[in-house]
Amino acid sequence: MEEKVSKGPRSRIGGASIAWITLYGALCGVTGLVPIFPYVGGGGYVPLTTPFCAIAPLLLGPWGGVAAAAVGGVIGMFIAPAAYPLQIVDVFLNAVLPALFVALMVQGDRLWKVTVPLFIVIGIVGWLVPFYVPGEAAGFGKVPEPLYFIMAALYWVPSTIIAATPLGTRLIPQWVRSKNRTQRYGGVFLAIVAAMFVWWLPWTRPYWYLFNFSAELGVATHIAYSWWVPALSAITAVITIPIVEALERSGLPKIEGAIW
Amino acid sequence: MQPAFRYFHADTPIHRLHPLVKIAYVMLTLVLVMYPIRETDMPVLLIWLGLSAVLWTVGRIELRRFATLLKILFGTFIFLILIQGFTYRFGETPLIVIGHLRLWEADLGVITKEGVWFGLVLSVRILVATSALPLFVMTTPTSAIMTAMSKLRVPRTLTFMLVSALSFTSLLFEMWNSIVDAQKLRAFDIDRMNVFKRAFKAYIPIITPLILLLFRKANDFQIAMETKGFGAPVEPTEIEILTTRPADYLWLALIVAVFVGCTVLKFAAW
Repeated sequence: MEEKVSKGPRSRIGGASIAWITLYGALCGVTGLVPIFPYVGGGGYVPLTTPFCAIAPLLLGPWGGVAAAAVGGVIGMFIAPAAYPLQIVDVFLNAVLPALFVALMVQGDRLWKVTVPLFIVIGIVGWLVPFYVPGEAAGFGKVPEPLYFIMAALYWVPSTIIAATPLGTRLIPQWVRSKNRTQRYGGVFLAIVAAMFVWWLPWTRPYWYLFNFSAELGVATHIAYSWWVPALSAITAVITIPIVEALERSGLPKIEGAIW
Repeated sequence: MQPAFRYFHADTPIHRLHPLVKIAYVMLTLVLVMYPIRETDMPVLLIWLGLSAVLWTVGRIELRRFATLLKILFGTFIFLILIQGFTYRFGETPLIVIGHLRLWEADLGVITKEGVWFGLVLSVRILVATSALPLFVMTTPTSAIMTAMSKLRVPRTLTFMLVSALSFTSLLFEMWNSIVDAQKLRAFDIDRMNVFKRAFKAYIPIITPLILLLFRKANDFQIAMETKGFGAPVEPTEIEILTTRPADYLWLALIVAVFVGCTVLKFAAW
C-alpha cells in the first residue's frame, strides 16, 4: 500500500495540518486542568500538559509539535491558570520548551549542532542564575559549593553528553523510528529524559528568582526533583509508544518529521 | 444547553459590545492576575471577580455550562489549599498539627493558617483568571473575533487555531468521558486505581483512543477547511464590519476604572 505523506499548502505548519495542530493544542490546553506535581511553596502545579507537549513533536513533527504546544499553552493559561502562575512566561516554560527540547533530541542527526551549544548555555546560565547573578547582592545568600554545581550539572551534563555523542546524533533518531519495540521505548525514553532534565533548569529559575529561594533550598529542590524527572519521562514513554503504534495502524496520512 | 467555550447567540449588551473592549477586559484580567501575589490581595481579586460576575450576568452566561470545569477547578482549589497549608514558607500560626517534619523552610507536619489563607487567595486568583476568556468567546461570534484580531495585526492562522482549539475543549471533555465510560463497561475502572497504577496502566487505554479519535476528527476538519479555501494565497474578506458605539466607550471606561482602582488598592499597601 502506498504511504500517504501530508505536506504542502499554507494550511500546514512543518508538514502537520493546522487542524491536527489545533486539536492537539486543545488537548494540551485541557490537560492543564490535571495536576501531576505541586510547585512546593509556590502556588501552582505542573500540569499534565507538560508531558503531552513533550510528545507533541513525536506525533506532529518538530514544527507542528512546537506549534501545538504553544496553542495548548495559551489555551491552558486561560482555562487552567493554576498551572500557569507566571501566565505567558509559563506558556513558554510549561508547554513550548518541553516540545522544543524533545524536537531537538529526536532530530539530533540534523540538529545536534544547535542542541549541544544550547544545552551548554542553558546549563551554565541555570547554574549562575539566580544564586550568582544577581547573587548575594540581591539577598540570595551564600552558595554551598561544590554541592550546588554538582547538583545543577546533573541536570545538563548527562543530557549534553547524550546529545553530543553518537547516541544523540545517530542512535536516538534511529531508535525512535525503529520497528523494534525495545529500541523504540529506549529511544523515546532517552530523548524525553535528556530533554526534560535540561528543561528543568529554565523551568525552575524564574520561580526561584521571584520567590527568593535560598541557595540551600535550591540544592534541596535539585535533589527532590532528581527522581521525578526520570519517573515522568518513563511514564511519558510508556504512554507514547502505544499511541505511536496505533497511529501507524490507523491509515491516517503521515506527517513529515513525526516518528510514526 | 450550549457547551462551554462556544458562542451562543443572545441580544445582550455584552453580546453587542465591541470585541476589542472585551479583549481589553481579558488582557487587563491577565495583567491583574500577573501582579506579584500576596496574602493581602483578596479584596482586589474579589472586586475584579465582582466585575466579572456583573459581566457574566449581563451577558446571560449560565454557570451550569461550566459544571465539569468547576468540578475540576474545585479539586484544584482543595489541592492548592492543602499544599499551601502544609508548605507555605511564611506560615506561622498552626491550624492543624499532624506531627513535625521540618523540610527546607516549612514544617510539613503542620497546616498553617497563613498557608490556608494563601491557598484561598490563589484559588480566587485562578477563578478571576478563568472567568475572563469564557465571557469573550461565548459572547463574540467567531467572525467578529477574527476581524478584531486582524485589526490587532494577529496572524489569521494563529487566531483561527486559538479560537478553534478553545471551541474543541468541550468536545474533548465529552470524548474523554465517553472513552472512560466505554472502558468501565469493559471492567476497566480508572476511578478505583491508585496513583501509581493510574500513571503506568490507566491512561494508555484512554489516551490512545482519545488521540486516535482526535486525529480522525482533525482529518475531517482539515478537509472541511481546505474545501472552504482556508490557506488560499489570497487576502480574505471580512464577514463582519465592526463599528464602535458610545456604549462601547462607557463599558471600556468602567472596566479601566475598576482596573485602576484595583491596581491602586493593591500597591497602596506596598
